[in-house]
This record gives sequence, structure tokens and C-alpha cells, in this order.
Amino acid sequence: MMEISVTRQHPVTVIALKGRLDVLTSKNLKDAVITEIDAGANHLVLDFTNLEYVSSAGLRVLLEARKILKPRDGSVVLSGVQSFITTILNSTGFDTLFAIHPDAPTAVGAISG
Amino acid sequence: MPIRILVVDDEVDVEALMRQKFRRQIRDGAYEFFFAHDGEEALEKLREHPDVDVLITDINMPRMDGLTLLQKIKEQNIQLNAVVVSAYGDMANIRTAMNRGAFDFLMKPIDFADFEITLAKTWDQISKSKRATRDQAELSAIVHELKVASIIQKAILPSEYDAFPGRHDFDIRARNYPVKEVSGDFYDYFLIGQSRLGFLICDVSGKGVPSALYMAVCRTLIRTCAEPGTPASSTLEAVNRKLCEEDYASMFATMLYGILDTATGEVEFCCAGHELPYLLNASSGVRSIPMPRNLALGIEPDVTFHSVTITVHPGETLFLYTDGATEAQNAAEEFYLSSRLEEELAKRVGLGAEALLDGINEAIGAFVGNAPQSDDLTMLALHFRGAPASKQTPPMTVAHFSGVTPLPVTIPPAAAPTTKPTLFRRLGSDLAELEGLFVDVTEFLQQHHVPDGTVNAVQLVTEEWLVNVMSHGLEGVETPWVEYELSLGSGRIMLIVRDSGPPFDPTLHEPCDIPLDSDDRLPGGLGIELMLKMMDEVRYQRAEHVNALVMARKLS
Repeated sequence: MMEISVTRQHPVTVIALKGRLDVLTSKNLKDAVITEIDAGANHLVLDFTNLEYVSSAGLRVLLEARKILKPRDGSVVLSGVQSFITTILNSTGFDTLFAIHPDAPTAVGAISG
Repeated sequence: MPIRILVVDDEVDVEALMRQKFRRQIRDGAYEFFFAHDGEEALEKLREHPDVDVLITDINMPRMDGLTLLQKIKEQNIQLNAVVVSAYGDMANIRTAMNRGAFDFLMKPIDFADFEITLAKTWDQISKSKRATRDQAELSAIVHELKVASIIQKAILPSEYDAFPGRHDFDIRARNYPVKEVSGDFYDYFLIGQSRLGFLICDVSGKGVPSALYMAVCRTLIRTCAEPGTPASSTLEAVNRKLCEEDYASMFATMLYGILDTATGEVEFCCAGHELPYLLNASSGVRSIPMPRNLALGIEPDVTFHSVTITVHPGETLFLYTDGATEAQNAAEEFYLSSRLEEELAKRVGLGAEALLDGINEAIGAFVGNAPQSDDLTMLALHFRGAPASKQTPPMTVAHFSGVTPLPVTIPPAAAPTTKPTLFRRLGSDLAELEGLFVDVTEFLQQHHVPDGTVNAVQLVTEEWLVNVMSHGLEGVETPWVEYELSLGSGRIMLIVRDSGPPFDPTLHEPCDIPLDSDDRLPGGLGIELMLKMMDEVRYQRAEHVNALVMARKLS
């Protein structure tokens, strides 16, 4: 189970996730990411403050989003990452691909500033 | 060790210049210089100092010029790297020097920075070739040791041929064909008292030296534990406990152990995750002997092993084998399979042990053809003749041998009864089934007060492996199923997943160094890497066309 809430602050969109980002829910995130990019978002903040769990299926969506936005000078950054997910990001090397901010407002500030 | 450099030049002030220029390196012990003023003197110096690494030589010199010197060095097979110093643009001489084995050249007047670069390059070359020579020597030592190991290994196994020449009541033979010099498979047979024969066949995980060492441990343990009066099941329980006590680098072994009562023909079989044996009877043909499979040895310390007792009649033969037989592959990568093995056995039901093994080996050989052998192959045949006629046979035993098809006397339940809390689910290949499983796993672990971080780790392993099996492993499989077994005990979480897909061993997965964001990166690898990182132990087993992945994580 995963809940998604989207806040548009052009050209940044914050996608906040709650619950589990796994093989069953990653499709929902992928759809949301595509919708936001199509709507003109060039920078995505994925807020993990309330996300408990991520698996490789979820990580793959992160990579796909980055792959679309990078050539457009856009970015994908993460915020509020919890301890289990930090372990996952570190052990897969994802921490070197995605900037990680303590919370969503800091992330938005870093992109806009 | 300094680099030893011999400089050959007829100009007398070169020595002073070099010593001045490189005084620091000489003082620090990086360079050691020797000097000669023509080719002949250089050869003398080389005789005095045969350990010179680099020769720097001028070309035009009295008595013996540089090109002749190179020629002599080549003829006398002196090992060093030569650099010639020539006038600018003197390509003819440079080419001749290179043809005579010079490694590099320098132009006059010597640029000392360039000189140092050339020296470094030469030194690098020397180190490489020294390393190659050393590696070569080490390699031949290893090859030699492997040959010795192979001889020792053969020596500790009983004879493949007539191991008990005085015994006419049975005939036992074995064959062992390792892929590498040493084998992970082994067989053994030994008398326990006068009327009991212990015999076994064993397949250690992996191949080569680690397996061979583990094999030696297994063999010693079983010989120690197989005492008169001890049932086969208790023997394997004891061996298993000993193997689990030590950390043998995640190795395990499947074993089939039997004890034949040579007076009655009764055989107690205990199987530790091994292929089941066949019974060959001249009139009724070939049949697999059903028995509880139990868990392989060296995985779980507190396992109860169940055995089965059957009666073998005079004239019947038992055939035991390792998966090297059924999983032998031909050039088209087809497996030999138990169906072919059974057909070939059926053709040879009346043969003695020796002829049976040679016949089966030939049949497998014919199937494999020129394809390389993929796994160790071991086979054992026990032909029972019965108690000698001169001995008085109790009438009850005669009745026992009345040609009734032997049936297992007792078959206990397949799974060992367990008091460990266990969650068991059987699934198909539909990913939607995972949703319920994830909920059950979380509830099960939380009920037993497993910390959240560990719950997440178990969830991750569950998801990564089941998604892999369900969406790749079971693709196109006729009856796709996955069995998921999660249990808690002995201070750790155990996860066993069995599936009906083709063989796939995730522990052979090599960490991928292709960048994560590259298009060349395979999508599946990430999940398996993560999964392997989450668990303390991951072992893969394949038996009876079923994959089994056994994973454990310590509960801290």
C-alpha cells in the first residue's frame, strides 16, 4: 500500500510518498512521475518522510525519472529518507546518483535557489 | 631494492654527471650506478654484477661498440632491459639496436627528465616480467599440489573395485569422476562389525579444492559417528550437528547413507537431501525407493532425520548416484535426466555391480559426447547375494525373501516435525499473490517481536527473490509453484524458498560494475545484489527438479 500526494511549485514538483514502494506500488509512482513531467515539471522532489520501505522495483522508477530529466537539465532529488531506505540507497550506490535533503522545503529551496 | 643501472659511454665525464644529477636517488637507495667505457668493459661489469636491471649504452665507442654489445648480451642470454643512446635522427642504428633486443632509446644530448621517464618505464617492464615469472612458478606449484591432493583423495576412499575380497554375500563397487583434479563428490563403504555394511554417497556444494576439503571432513565425521548399533538417522543427525558447529564458509552436502544387515538383507536408508536410490530386480525391473528427503547436511543444526527400512533380496542390486549423472549435459545442453538413467538401468537389471557401473558410465558418456563434463559424477552399486548357503538361515528369513515387492516399512512425514514458529505459503506465478504474503510476513514477524529494520530486510529479500522466481524463473513452466517457508529459531531467521523452475543459482550472481544509470545495466541484477546483502547466509540447492534457496539472517 502506498499513498501519493503531489504539490506543484513550478518548475519543481514535490511527490510525497507514504507506505511501501515495492513491486506492487511502483507502477503508481511511475504514472505520477510521467504525469508531472508531461505537465512541465523539470525538477522532482521525491519526499520519503513517510515512506517505510523500498525495493529494487521502486529504485528502478527513480532511475527512469532521472534518465528522462537529466538530458533536459532537470533533476530528481530525495528528501526525508528514513533509516532502512538510507541503508538500501547506500548499499546500491544510489546515494551517489541522487541528492538527499533533510526535508522537502530544503530540497525545493536548493533547486530554486 | 634499488634499480641497478649500468651506464656505458666512452666520455669520461658521464660518470660524474650522472652521480651529480642523481645524487638524491643514489642516497635514497632508489638507483645504484655502475659505469663502463666500452662494450668489453661492460661485459666484464655484467659478469661481476649479474643482477644489473637496466643497461644504458652509447653506440659509438672504441674496442666494442654498443650494437655489438647488444648482440653479445643477446648471445649470452643475459637478462636485462637495454636502452641505447644515439645521435638525433640516427634511425638506422636505433632500428638495429631495437632488433638486437633494446627496449627503448634516448637522444643525445640526454634530457634528464626524459631519462628518468625512460628508466621508470623500463623498471615497470622489469617488474611486470618478474611478476609474470613468479606467477608462473606459483601456478605450477599449485598444479603440482592439486595432483598430490587428487592422489591423496583417491587414497582415502575405499577401492572402486573389490574392497572386500573375502565377502561373498555382497559385492559393492563405486566410480568417481571429478570435473577438476579433486572431487566434491565421494562414496564410502565400511564394515560395522561383521554383519553390517555402511555405504554412502555424498555431494558437497561447489567443486574443486573447497569442496574436497569439506568432503574430507564429512568422511571423517561419518566414519567416527557410524558405530555398531547406531541407526543411520542418528548417525546423520550427529554428523549434521558437527558440521553446523563449525562455520565451513556456507558449504553443505547432500548424502544418502545406508546400513545393510548382511544376514537379513535389511537396509536402513537415511537421505539428507540427496537423490533417491534405485532398486534393480531381474523380474520386476527398476524402481526408485521412496523415502523422506530430509534437509541437506550442514544447514540447520537441530534437524531430526527420518529414515526408512527396506529389505533387499538375494540377486537384487541397489544403485546410488549423484546429480552428475542426471544433470550430465550434451553439446545441445540437454540434461541426461532420471528418465534416461532409468531406461539404461532397466537394460542392466541382471548384471553384477561392476558391469552395471561400467555400462551406465558408457551410456552417459555416449549421451554427453564431446561436451565438457559439467559436474562431478559418482555412482555406487551394491549387489546383494545373501548369506552363504552353508550357514543356517533362519526359516523366518526365508519367508522374508519370498519375492514380495519390497516396500518401505515406515515412511514418516516428509517434513521434520518442528516446534519453531513457521510461516508457510504455497503460491503460483501471479505477482498479485504477493500482496497477501507481504501482510502475512509482517504480521508473523511482528508477532514474534522481530525489530522493524529486520522486518523490512526480510520483506525485501522475500520480494526480490519471489519477484525474480515468479516473473522470470517460472516463465513457461508447466506447473509453476513456489513454496515459501519463514521460520524463527536458534537466534536467527531462516527463509527457504523452493520453486519448480529451471536451475538458477543466485549466489553465482557477480556484482555488476556497470554504472547504475547506464542503458547496458541488466534490470534483474540490482534486486539480487540487494537480497544477498540483506542475509548473512544464502545457499542454493537443486534436487529432483526443484530449486531451493536457503537464507538465514542473525537476530541481533
